[in-house]
Amino acid sequence: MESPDKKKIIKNKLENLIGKDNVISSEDELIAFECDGLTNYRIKPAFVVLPGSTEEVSAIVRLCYEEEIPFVPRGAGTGLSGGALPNREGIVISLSKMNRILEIDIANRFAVVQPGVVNNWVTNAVSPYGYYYAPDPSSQIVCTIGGNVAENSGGVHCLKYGVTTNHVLGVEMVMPDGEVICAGGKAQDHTGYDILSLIVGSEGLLGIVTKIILRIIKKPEAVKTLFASFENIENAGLSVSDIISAGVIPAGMEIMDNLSINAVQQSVNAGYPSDAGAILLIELDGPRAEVESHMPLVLDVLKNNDATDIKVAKDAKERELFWKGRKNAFAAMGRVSPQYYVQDGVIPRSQLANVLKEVEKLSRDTGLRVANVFHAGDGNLHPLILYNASNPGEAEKAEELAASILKACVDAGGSITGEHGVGFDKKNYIPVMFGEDDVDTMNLVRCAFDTKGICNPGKVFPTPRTCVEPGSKPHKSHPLEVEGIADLF
Amino acid sequence: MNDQINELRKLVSDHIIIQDPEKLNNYSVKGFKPKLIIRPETYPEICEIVKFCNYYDLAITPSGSGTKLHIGFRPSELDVIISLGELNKMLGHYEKDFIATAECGMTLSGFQDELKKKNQFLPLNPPLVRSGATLGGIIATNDYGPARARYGTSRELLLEIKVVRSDGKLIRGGAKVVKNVAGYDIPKLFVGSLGTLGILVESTFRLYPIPEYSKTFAASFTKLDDLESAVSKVLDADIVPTSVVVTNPELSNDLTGLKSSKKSSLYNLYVKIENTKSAVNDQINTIEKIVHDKISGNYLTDMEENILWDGITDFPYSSSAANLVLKTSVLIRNSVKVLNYLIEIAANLNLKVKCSANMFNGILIISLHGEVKNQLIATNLLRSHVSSLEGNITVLRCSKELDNEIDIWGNIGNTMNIMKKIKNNFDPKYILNPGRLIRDL
Repeated sequence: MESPDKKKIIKNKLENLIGKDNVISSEDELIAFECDGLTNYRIKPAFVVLPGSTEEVSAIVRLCYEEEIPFVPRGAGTGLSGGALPNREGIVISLSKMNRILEIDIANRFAVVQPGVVNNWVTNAVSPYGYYYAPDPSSQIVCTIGGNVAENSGGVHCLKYGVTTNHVLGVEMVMPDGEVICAGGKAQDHTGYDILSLIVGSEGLLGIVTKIILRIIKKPEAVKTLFASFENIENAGLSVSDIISAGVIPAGMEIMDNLSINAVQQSVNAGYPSDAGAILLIELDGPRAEVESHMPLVLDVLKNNDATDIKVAKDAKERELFWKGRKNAFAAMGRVSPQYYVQDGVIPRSQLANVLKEVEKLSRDTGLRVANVFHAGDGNLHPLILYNASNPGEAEKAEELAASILKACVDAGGSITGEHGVGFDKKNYIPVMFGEDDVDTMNLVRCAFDTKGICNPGKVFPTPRTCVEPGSKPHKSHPLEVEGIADLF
Repeated sequence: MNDQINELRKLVSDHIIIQDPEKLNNYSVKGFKPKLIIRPETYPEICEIVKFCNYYDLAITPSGSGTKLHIGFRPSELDVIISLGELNKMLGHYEKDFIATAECGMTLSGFQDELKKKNQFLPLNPPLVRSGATLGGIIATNDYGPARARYGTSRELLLEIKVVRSDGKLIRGGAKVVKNVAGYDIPKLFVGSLGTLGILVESTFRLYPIPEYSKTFAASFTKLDDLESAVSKVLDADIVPTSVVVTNPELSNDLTGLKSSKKSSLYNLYVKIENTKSAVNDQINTIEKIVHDKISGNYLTDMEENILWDGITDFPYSSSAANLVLKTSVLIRNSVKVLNYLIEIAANLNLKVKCSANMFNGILIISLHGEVKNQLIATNLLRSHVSSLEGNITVLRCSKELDNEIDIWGNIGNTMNIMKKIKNNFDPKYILNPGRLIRDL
């Protein structure tokens, strides 16, 4: 779309497909779409379109396929890895108008929603029946289910309940050529390859999800939330492994270090002790008798690991306050630093102490402070690198430090991302974690879906690869194939 | 083929190549005898063998201990069976992380024995574990048991895999951590792929602590309506069951060991709870209070409980090979409706039916005995009934006569094209288990 004439033609075609009001092309309005939650990178797209139905998404994608225009799906734009970063000559397909909950079936424990539905709308809708939708990323009051599916989002309760992929039963998706497929469904088992599992977490590279069947689960009978303070973060980490070894799988276990605690306290006053080296926030849930029998086991572990103070939330209000502190930890960093850069590495839990020491060393070496807030039960670290962009070179230094931390995670046997996705931000770290043949295998998947490489290109993979049609071998036919009864693959 | 075999002998150790006709018979897949069995001992050997087969267009069927080779269609071609039986080692138990890695030829029971030393376990209880079901076979067939209600399937538990692709390259997918979204979820793609995309050689699983205590509540019902109401209350209760299973009278009689003269016509409901002792007892009390209209109710623990659940898991394979075994997946609350319909059609067609229904997930495992042509009719009727309820049916085992008559996989929907493209990209020469994954047109 480099020539103005071509751009005009495409604009007309888009307007014919979905109406003038649903095509954004003015420079001013496009600014709002030039980045997602990762604001370091900004690119203005050629157009933003706002389809209202699967048919409209399909028509737009078909046009992109025919004209070979790159497109990027976008939910609420809260992603932290630049997954919704536009292409300069491309189209951003915003799913914000497809925001209806289509069906709720309490008896069969599912809800069918459009991709623009906000995460916590689902829980709000099923809550009166005693049910909820489990994945709860910190941004759940704004982030959308479509984005959650793309990123395979987690949250603070996924230690026990799993991440998005464990709660999606099926999707309807527009393929990169405009064809509409349905993977999975309302029943729990399906035959053939698990296409659904490829789609969830594919970061918008395999198509645009237009309908999602979500599993909803029963609210636990009892919930107990507590936090324990420690002089050092290592003991908080040891407690995490010991609690699981004691046979307890808490709904969530979160650690915050002193720097994070103080930022949170200044921001929302969650009742955390500002002199603690670290706090471990724990939530137990389940049948009342289970929670009651697990509580003493947890308290024993905490005491054995020298917890200096243990505070159990006395009611729902206090419980909410404890969580408010944790969920506002990122935003609270504004209180202690002009800018921060959040990363998302994963390590085996047993490596927690070693990796945190390494992070501390790296922080000292670069002279940049790092606040640690993480899903300790999953070993999912969120180091927040604090910097001041007005100091020349500091932003770059922060990125370098982030890269070193991710490398330390991989060296410890972990991953470069636990829930934020690879996106644009970390595509160059993929080779740190995977070998060439491993990446090539992922590319075999991508090429099966997107032969032209137009669906959210420039993300996840470090270098774009061309899809090659495989040579086919005339195989001997199966008897059923010969008789026309069945198809072979 | 002899020239090719001689060439292969130069590439890998001689003793891993088996040509003994008697042994070849033992490895036949649905009556299809392989020309060669190879039992590699290292990953590089598998890579060499697959590369060799790829070059000469030789069709491969991967096998663990062979307990599930009956799943899928008869292969359209079969030259070589690559048996993973020698790749059976535990590679690491990272106990503090509740993660373990093993070669895919390791049996699940061997794996569990190792984990038990540290009071941990892999919460998968598929059939045929006592017959030697291997980790690779369980992943490739997406096999599971009644514990799915609480723990899920391999899909939920598999963290990392190593696979030999059809071009002989050894690749890795996933990572040895419980949370990871870097790149596509390659491990899940291989769950249930039946060896058609690559040969699974190594797997890493998420583990759980062995629960302190376990108890199973058992209740019997004469009327399906009463049973349905009881199940509904159990599903809505504040409990976390490991398994919720209903058995039809034929299977109930087998499980309770009733002799033919005393056979009853009771539907049984079994609810297994695992937790701390006080939490188990409390939840069992809850169930007892809400389950009314039962003829009888009791509890099982220890050995008795283990025997019961082994019986529920293995029942389709404990009788003669003449039975037809089906797996039906439906909406949770349609399970009893489908069970009722199944019993009706089985009676009309003079078929003996045994069924265990996992009420938490809507999965019915069905065994049909009787005239083969009636087995086929029953499957078609049931399939059409289940399709109208947004469910599906997979044939897990059938007799030789039905091999070329029955559609194993049922309706795959509109994802067939993308599945074909994936298969084409992963195995362009169709050498991996060709013809075994098929859909009805």
